[in-house]
Amino acid sequence: MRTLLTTLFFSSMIIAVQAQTTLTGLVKDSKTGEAIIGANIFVKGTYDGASTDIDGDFVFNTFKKDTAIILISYLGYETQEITQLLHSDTLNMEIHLVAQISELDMVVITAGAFEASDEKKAVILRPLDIAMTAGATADIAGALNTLPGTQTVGEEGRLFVRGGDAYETRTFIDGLLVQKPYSSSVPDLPARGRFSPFLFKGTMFSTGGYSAEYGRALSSALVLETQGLANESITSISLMSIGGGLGHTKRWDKSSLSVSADYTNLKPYISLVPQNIEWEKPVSSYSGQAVFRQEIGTNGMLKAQASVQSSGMTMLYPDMNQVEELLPLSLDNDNYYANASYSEILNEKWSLDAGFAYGYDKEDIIQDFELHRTIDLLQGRLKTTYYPNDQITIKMGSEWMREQFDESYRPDEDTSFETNLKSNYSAAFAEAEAYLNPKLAIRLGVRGEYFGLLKEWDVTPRLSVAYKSGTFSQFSLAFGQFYQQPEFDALRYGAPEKPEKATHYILNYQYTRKKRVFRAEAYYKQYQDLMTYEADQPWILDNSGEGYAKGLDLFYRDQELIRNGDFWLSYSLLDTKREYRDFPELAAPTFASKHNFSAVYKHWLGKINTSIGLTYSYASPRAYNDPNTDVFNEGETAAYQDLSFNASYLTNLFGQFTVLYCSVTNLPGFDQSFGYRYSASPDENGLYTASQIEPPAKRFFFVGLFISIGQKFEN
Amino acid sequence: MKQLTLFIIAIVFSISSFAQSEQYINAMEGALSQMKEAEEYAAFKQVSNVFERIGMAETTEWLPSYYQAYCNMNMAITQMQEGDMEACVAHLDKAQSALDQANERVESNSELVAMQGYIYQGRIWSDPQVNGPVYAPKSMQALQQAIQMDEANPRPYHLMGQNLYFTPAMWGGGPQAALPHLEKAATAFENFEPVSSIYPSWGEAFNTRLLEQARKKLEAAEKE
Repeated sequence: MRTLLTTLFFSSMIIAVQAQTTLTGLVKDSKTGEAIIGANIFVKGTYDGASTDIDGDFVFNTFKKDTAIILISYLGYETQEITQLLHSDTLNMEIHLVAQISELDMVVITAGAFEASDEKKAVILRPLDIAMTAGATADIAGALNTLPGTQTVGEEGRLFVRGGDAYETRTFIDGLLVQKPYSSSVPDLPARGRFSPFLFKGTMFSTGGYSAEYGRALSSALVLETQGLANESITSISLMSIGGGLGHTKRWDKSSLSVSADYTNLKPYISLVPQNIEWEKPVSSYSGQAVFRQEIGTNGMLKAQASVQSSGMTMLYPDMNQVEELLPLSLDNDNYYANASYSEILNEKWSLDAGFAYGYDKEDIIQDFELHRTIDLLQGRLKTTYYPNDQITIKMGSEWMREQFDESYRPDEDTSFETNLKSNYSAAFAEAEAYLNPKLAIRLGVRGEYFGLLKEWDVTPRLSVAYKSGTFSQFSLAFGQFYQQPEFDALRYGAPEKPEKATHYILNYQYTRKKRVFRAEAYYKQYQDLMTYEADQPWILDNSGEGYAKGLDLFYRDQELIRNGDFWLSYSLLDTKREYRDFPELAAPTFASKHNFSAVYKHWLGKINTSIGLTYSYASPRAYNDPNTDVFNEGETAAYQDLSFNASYLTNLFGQFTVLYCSVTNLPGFDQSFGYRYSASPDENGLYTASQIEPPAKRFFFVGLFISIGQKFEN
Repeated sequence: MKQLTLFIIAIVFSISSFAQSEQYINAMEGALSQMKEAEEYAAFKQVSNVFERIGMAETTEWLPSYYQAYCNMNMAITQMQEGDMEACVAHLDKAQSALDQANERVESNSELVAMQGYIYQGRIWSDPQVNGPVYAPKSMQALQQAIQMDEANPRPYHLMGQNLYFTPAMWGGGPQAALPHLEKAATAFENFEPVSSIYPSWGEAFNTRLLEQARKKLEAAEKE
């Protein structure tokens, strides 16, 4: 008995003595060979281990015997497991840890796209950048106009991309096309976007070569992704120099609802600030909006939103036939928009997105003529995404749209021209994105489209490739074909045989280092099958138009150089000509300028809780057509310059978080002129009389107070 | 004989399991005294490694991972102060994964939920403009839940007070707003008795310091 106990006792002692092993060595970065300080190295299942010292060295003892698993871990590196036979007294090891591949080390497909997101790391912009750009007054198109690839067209307010007309840029919300993303406006008076930048958590602005997911846009896709669940219950009040608004958001555990109403009226403002326009009834508008979010299960999200807008104005406007003569012109607009989308991650390999949207827009324009126009768009979309592994993503989907356009034009009381057009559109797409390795990515897509009104089928290929050429630099290229049906107001007298077509070729270089980004993009865009007609015989139409746009876009952003400061510079060089609509020949269009330059600066003054911003824009002269000369589009506008300023002061009013915001455009008072408008017919001397197109006022001042009554930091 | 053998085996087992839990407590106590001394990044890194090792060996204990999360919060703070936001975020991510591990090992409790609230606060430091609106309410909710789960736990009050103290007044922060929470925390710290020698007890010294500073600032403001 005693022997048994003794044996047990001694054998355990012997085991303990025998098992003592000293492990020593060095931990290094597998790539750079640099010592790793503070790495954790230990024997799995025991407390035995150590941290590496300042030279990357470690030493520790272990009682573990025979086979041991040694773990080495360090933040930002792959944890390594080494199976080791512990036999000798001292064991020397050299360990090479492999750095984890972070999102920032991966190549990204960037050709043609500017993306703003808080969720992704490798993006150039943040959603707040869009909301806070001076000169844009929280207008999405205004902010995007400071990016390269866009042309400043001061009298329009819409996006013109790479020599494309405004209609060639389409807006998508949660994948669904928006028929009327801008407020209604008369010619020469800039429009604003209907949607506030604060509604979106992600913005992808493509200036070309975009994904097969999107169609019906010859030049550009602006893809907006709405916010998810509201963060908290909050009431917001806005008091502005041009109106006011009230909103309330209620957050429940798995759902949220926001309701808001706004009223704007420019009358008080216009009575204070001299205008180039004689207003009879300045712009006023009512709008209401509801946004609902519901989480369904653990991986499903239902998003629904609806908005109503009603606006009206009356101003003195040149008579079409006699431009020196001003006649009251009124514009009333009603716009309804609703969409609902559902997305769910079905399992590790599949996800589903489905959406429906309905939009309705009604315009009534009355001068010495009457024009009544309604347009509605109903659409559905279904998309599935398949992730066979970490490197490959495959998207497949289809969409369907039905549009109705009704117009009644009455040049006088006895005459009336009616246009009623129905248009169906359906499309199916498939696209695969593959990371062949962390340095090389490829995206290959195809889209089949049917244009019901034109009875035309098309299949379009899309391709993007990106290659990471260095730690901080990468090249991308993109190719794609895009089809678009001409706008309804061009289809009054008949439809051409085919949709218009554009082919994009893009080469992009991007250098990103910490908070500095430089990118250069060269492109060539070819237009084919553009719709053309005789200037005075719009019913003689065909697809014989063509054109091209080529150029270079440069962008530099630096958030490091100036403490608390952030700036970006954009330059676009554009060479474009086209023959479309009533152009008699290949000519530079009136919206294209050869050089566009923008500089955006933002600075945070911490001491006074104020953020200030400055935006400078320059656009070289654009063409306009003077019918008194023989050469088409030969006139040249003056160059355009603007310097805008904004400031937001963050404070606390009645214990509630408050922002006081003010902005002014054209601070130095540059002369801005956008060419001339000519009478539709010559006067008795055979001359077409002209009136100058200029901004409605030299400067636009804006002051607003935004109060958020939210959850207080109290128990 | 057979019975005796069984008896011996039983004893050997109980000794080894007793020895193991004693070894665990000794190791934890050692690490905790190291943690108390830690002020700089390297020291927190070292002790965080110790907790990681213990946590990997004792796969049913939640405290090692909980402290590992706490050490990573401290490292996140030092990185933020040095302006290395990328490293700050990496430590916040690590703190979250360590806390997730602790949560897998034990039923939720006030300390774990308070630590979650603390990590949410960390997300705000790393990018106040963007993360503030998202994480401020989340953090508040977690800390309130931690109080509900155990009203005697001083740490949620302390974390609320600390966060308010460093939040600009325009967002409802500042010494005035922080004071009641820091005071509540001080009282709770006085009455707090940790369940065991290795149970969470951190925060008292810093709370006292913040309370003093807050009172001083308010006095100075009154004099002006």
